[in-house]
Amino acid sequence: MKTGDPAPRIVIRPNCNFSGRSAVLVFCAMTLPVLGVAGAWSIKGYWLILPFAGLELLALGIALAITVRRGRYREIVRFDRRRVRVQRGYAGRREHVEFPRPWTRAWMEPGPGPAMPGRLFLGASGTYCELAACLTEKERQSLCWRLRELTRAPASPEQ
Amino acid sequence: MGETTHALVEHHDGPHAKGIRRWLTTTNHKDIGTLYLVFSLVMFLVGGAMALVIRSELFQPGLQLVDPHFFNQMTTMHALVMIFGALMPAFVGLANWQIPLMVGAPDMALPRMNNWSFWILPPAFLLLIATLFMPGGAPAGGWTLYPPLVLQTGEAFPFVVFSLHLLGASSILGAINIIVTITNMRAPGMGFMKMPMFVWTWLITAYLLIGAMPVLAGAITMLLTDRYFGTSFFLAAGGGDPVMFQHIFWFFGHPEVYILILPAFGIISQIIPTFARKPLFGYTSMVVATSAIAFLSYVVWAHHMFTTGMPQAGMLFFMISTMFIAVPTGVKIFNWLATLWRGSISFETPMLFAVAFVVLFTIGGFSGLMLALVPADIQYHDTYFVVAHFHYVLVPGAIFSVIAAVYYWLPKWTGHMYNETLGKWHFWLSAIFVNVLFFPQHFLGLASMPRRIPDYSVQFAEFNMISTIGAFGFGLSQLLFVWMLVKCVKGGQKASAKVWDEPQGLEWTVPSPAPHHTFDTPPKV
Repeated sequence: MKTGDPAPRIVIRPNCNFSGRSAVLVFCAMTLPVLGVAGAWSIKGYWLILPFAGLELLALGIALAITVRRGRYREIVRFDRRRVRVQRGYAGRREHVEFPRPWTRAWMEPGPGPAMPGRLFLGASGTYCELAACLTEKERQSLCWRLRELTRAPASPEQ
Repeated sequence: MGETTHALVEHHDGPHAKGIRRWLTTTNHKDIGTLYLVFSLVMFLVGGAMALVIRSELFQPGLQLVDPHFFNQMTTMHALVMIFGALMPAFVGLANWQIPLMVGAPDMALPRMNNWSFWILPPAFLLLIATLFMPGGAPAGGWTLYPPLVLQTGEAFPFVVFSLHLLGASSILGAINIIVTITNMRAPGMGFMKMPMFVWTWLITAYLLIGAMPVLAGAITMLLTDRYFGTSFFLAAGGGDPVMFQHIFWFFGHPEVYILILPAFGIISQIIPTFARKPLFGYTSMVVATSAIAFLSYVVWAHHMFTTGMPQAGMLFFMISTMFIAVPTGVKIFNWLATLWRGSISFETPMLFAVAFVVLFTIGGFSGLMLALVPADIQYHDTYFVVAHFHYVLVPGAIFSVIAAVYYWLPKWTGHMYNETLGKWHFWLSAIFVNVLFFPQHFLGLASMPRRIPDYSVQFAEFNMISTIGAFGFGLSQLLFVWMLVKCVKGGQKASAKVWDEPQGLEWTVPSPAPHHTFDTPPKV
């Protein structure tokens, strides 16, 4: 990000090696041999393999779909002169929150236990939202500092 | 313009639950890995106790301890418990612990499904073991469940089928989770050809599981319908073909053998470079060889059935395709030896077990090559030579690899070093007794002693006696292992993050014991 950028933007997304296309490829790579084998046995009259193969492929398909969907989750934080706009969720169904930039604060809350991850919040005037639950602790900390820098705010009220 | 942050962690754990609730509801891969490994150890002891019943009966000719029907129940249950209860869960447990650590992921991709896939196992095994107490007893037709013999099982039959369905479902869910985790959750920068060999072998194993399991599920369901719903898939009287069950079963069964051995290859490929202090020789060829073995495992099934009467062309095909498997397996053995060559080798316990694996698995591989030859197989079929062959592959092969893996990663899991002296005692006792146990069985087989019999001709007495002594020696040596595990979990010398001299891999970049939430800082690949 350039210093002095008038409308900076931060995009937070989970780590995901998969695209929808590669998931389809993996699924097809599994489907062809599994259905091929089950189909061949069915032709010989041993058709009861086919429903099990179908069930298994259904489970695999659901698992891949869930993973690809999770990979499409985004949190987008946009800063303009007056407002901080947060968009969270999946493409087409993102929730929007706006905060007045001069009043916006970013702060961290510790996790429930010593080994548990902390939480990052962004908010103003009693309204807030959680961000970056999908990041590592260190990344969340550095994001918190970056948000504070961008909102030009001092440390959070809790601190 | 903007900046993008890639997350490496998806937190799904709530606050820690305590006591039994923690273990029932956990979605943490380390907890679930521990559950799998403990379950596998318990099943290993149960299956081992069954093996000792078998060997005790065979200590002398004649019937001494158990009646023949119970003996046959023991041979069947020993195999089912060891394959589905001890070995497969052990490898899944190792996968659960290690794959996220090795690919730089915070957990498995589908943690709740991971919890279910473990908790299906204990009820499935309770059901299977409960069949011993049902009218008619447990299944006694061998783990291959060949009809029409298996259809003579008493009231236990549907329970056996149901428990096998549950075990299959558990394996499939585990395999799906592993595929999704490896393909989707690798740390940025970790391409497929940078993955550790253990991860590679597990990815290929998971594909094998997905391919093989529906075939088993279908086959045992058809057995069930033949018995209870009047179908005749495998009943000759109704126009069915019992030999087709053998084809279907071994279409599952031979990939299953590789499901049990490919992760072992991965483990050995992790351990040997660490203690040879050299990178693995021929990484790419290892990956290609593993894939080739997996592919070939689907086209060799009928080598288990040469005596059923097959067209000559079929016998030739299955003989040659089976012998082809020796090529990628030979590549692996060569690569391990080349890794050892001029290495700065030290022989800590994991390395001892790994080297023993290479030597003893090769013996099992060679006897497998002998069995691949049709004329020889017709002589050896259903003799103790076959028993010796697959036990060499599965005990000093697969089980030694699991033990090696436990010694190798135990300090990372517990934060404590195990007792090296006791570890070496465990190794030498195991290595000696496993050979005392199984090597004489080659001679018994060559002398035509049939498998799955409680009584035998007096000419086989000496080798059977030696084998039984070996069995008790091997079994008792494993109690030393259990005691050492408990001791290591409870305490001991603190382990460093790296544990060994120069281990390679992301798992060694996190502290020992590995924290509940791994990778608080993004791993560098």
